[in-house]
Amino acid sequence: MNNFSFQEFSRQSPKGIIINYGVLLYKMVKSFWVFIPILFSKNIENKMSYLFSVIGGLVLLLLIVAVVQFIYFKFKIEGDQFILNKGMVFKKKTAIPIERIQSVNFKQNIVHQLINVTQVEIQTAGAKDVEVSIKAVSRELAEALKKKLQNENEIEEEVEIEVKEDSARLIYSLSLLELFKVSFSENHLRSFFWILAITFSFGYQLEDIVNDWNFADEMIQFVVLNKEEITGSLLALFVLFVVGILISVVVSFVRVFLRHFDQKVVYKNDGIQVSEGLFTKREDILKIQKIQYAVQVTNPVKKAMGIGTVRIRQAGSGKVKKKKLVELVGVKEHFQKELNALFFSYEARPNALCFRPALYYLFKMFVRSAFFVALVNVVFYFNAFSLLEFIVLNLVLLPLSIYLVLLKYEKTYFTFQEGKLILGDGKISTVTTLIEYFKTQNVLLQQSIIQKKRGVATLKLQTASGVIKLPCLRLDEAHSIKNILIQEMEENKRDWI
Amino acid sequence: MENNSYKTMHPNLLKSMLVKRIGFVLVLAITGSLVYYFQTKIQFSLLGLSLFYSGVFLLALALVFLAKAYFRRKKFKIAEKNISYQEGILYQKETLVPFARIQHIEIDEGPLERFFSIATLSIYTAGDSGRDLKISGLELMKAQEIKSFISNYIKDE
Repeated sequence: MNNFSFQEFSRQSPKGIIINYGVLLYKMVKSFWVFIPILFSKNIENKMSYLFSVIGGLVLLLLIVAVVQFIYFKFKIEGDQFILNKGMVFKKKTAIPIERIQSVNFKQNIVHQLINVTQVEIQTAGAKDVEVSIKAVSRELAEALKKKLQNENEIEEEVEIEVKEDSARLIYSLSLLELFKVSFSENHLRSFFWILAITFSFGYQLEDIVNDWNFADEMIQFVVLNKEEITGSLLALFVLFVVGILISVVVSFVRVFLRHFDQKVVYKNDGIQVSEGLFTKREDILKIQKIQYAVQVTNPVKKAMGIGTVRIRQAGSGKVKKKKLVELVGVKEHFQKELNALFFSYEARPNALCFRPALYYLFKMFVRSAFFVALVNVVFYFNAFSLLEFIVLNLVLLPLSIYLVLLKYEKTYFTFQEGKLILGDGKISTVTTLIEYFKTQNVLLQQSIIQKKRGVATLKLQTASGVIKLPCLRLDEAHSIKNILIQEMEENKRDWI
Repeated sequence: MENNSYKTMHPNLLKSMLVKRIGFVLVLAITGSLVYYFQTKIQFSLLGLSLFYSGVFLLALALVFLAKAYFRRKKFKIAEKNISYQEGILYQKETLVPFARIQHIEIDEGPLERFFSIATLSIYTAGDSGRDLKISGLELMKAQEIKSFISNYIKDE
């Protein structure tokens, strides 16, 4: 393992060519997929050979590109910098000071696993920074590189690594049963809206493709002929809704299984290591001091099952925000306490300084949901619903939206406690955000002209990993919170990253 | 350098704001006139034409008055350890940035700004929504002074 010195330039594993090629092919298919139906249409048959030779040429060209990419992709460590050169035509040299490297993560999708290589992602943070991804190296080289990059990092900070080295301790590992529980208790409504959005945006294109296939003709004719009966009645809509929810549940299951299969959380040195994934295996390291904020999510079903979710956000550098979010899905109650203690040495106490949004917030949410209800009514009006169906619809919709608004208002609070800010939010689910607020980057106090008249203001905390919003506070409270935040940001000399 | 009250921007900022707005209205009026002279399909009545020009005139008036109001709302303050900036009428915003969180500072001068000898000071933090501080309408000297003041503060820390 110690054969890797990284003094000289090294290349990726030759198997990297396969990965490069795969990525290129995928990109090609992705940018030309709109034209795929053309291949199946009839009037092109006589030009088939011409078309295939073009495609064949393109595929061959991409292979050459993949090899060239491989040859010109070189990296080494020089002094205190990690150097990466790539590109033949557009040469690009990247130099990252090792001390700026935030974490080194591994990723393996199914192709990586088949050919036994690892993708290494080097993440840095700050304003104008770079992300580096080495697509395919052997596991040994990956481990050695990680050790080299992170050890050199730590020598500066602490000398006690030797003692800490063996402190790896399993916090939890998700069993198959627990994975089922997690999937079952997800927010299926979100999956439902996700499916709805996808269906609407792809609907027309799908119709075009399906039209070309003869076997679908009868189906389509059936649907078209019975259109009025299908869309016209509330009962049919209800059935559609139930089917939609069922599909949503399936989607939730698939999503959770793909992403979080075999999730293992290990406490290691000064951070935790999370590994997960069914086809694509990910391994992320979360360094505690680099965490920007954490969000706990639970809902009645999850509570009954004694399982909760914690989302952890690290500092991101612009483009790759989503990847900075690590989700621990199988957090049980006693682990919850352990995690809180671990990340924030935080324990909820009742006598902390607590603020709530002004009554104006409730008013604002009512106005918004009134708009939503009106919109739904208008949409249904144009689909020729009967009066009875309108009444039934609104009997469900009105109380539900009022109840949800009241729930949200009830659950919203902002608590200050020993340098931590705890925010409550959520409707059916309960969302609690924890942030060590000295890590805030800047503070924005905002008043719309209506808010100004009502004497309320909204505070926005910009962090290195997204915005945290404290909506509709009384103006004097908003100012005093702002002052608390600013003072802590100025006085606390700890590194925010 | 520090001053515990909000300061308004340099009066030349108002001038450059007015020039921009009047330029916009002029472009609008000229485009309208050109369309009128060169198209032949529709005949505008004299009434329609005068309505168009009086509309443009009203828009110019409104923009001038709004520019004044916007200008008066733009204020900045440099305290011991932070810088803050206010602006906006419909959405009134106050942004506060502690010096300790500043990543880098830029001074820009556009051609119009250079003509009025003012500059824009941009302050970047690691907050990721790009809504950091941007103060336009400082004298170039003043902007450089602020920049070096903050840079020195960061170095000393």
